[in-house]
Amino acid sequence: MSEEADLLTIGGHTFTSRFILGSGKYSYDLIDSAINQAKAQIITMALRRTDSAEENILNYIPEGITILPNTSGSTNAEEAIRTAHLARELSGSHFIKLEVVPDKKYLMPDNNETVKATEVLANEGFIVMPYVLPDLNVARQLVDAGAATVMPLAAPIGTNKGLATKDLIQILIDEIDVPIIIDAGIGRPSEAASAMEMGADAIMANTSMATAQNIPLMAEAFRLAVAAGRKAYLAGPGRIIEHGAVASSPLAGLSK
Amino acid sequence: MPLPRRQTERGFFMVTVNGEPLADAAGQNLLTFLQQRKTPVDNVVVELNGTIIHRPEYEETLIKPNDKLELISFVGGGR
Repeated sequence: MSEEADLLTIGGHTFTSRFILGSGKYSYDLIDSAINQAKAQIITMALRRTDSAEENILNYIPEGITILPNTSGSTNAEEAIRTAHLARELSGSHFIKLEVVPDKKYLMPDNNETVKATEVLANEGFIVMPYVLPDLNVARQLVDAGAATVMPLAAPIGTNKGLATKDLIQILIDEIDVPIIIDAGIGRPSEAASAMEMGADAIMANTSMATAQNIPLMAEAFRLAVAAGRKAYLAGPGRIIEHGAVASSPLAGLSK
Repeated sequence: MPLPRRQTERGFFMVTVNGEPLADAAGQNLLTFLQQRKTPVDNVVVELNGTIIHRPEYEETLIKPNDKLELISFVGGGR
């Protein structure tokens, strides 16, 4: 398969990059170089009350990058729907990363409220990308409700703990037909590669870069890891022998 | 002694902007109000009493006493 043909399709829009960047917790000055090093085509942003003293983040986003507004801060479906409406007015696009997070300690999403909001927003024409705790039944409900992707968490937001929900994510990858984008918790490029090898369609990361010593370099490392994992998935990883070993050198013709 | 201009034309009516009371916004149109606040118009969405005001309507939208305005922008955020 050529690289050109390996496109990520979300709500009818195609992307060559499978790495989605967050824009939180680091200086706007670094956004441009992080995007360039990550070769990201999508960046997510939050909505908050305007502080006139704050810099305008849009001045730091290169041309041609798709803005993926998120509904962070919403604690129920109603709040998330309102935020999505504000986001659409602001971005002029229908992409919305749906986050409904009532829990303040672990930042666990409310899957039920997320399904409710997905149904409303998808009916209104939004390209809904819901963030959920990986659960097959919920993922099916999201697809039925019109979700464009499912974005399961690998570990709690901002923890860099990696693929804590690996087995549950694998079920979604195996059973759900919309793109599965791993969101939250990925802390190291190796974990991103691992998730892509499993068959995830894309990786979303923010904290793992924002908390790195060198943000653009870590963004590059993630890009390479995501690409490597994707190629490995497409290549079809070899089988694992649980017991014993299998020589790869010929057993015949040994000189003793 | 004539009343100050602001008092005669707009009265001392409060408007709530992003949850904070503001004394002298009533009577202005939205565009002027945003420009005076130095709010980047490309990165703001305005909700007036719970209804989104579209950008082309800013100039014709007058702020009235007791209005509740929410001014929302994109900021960095994501995982």
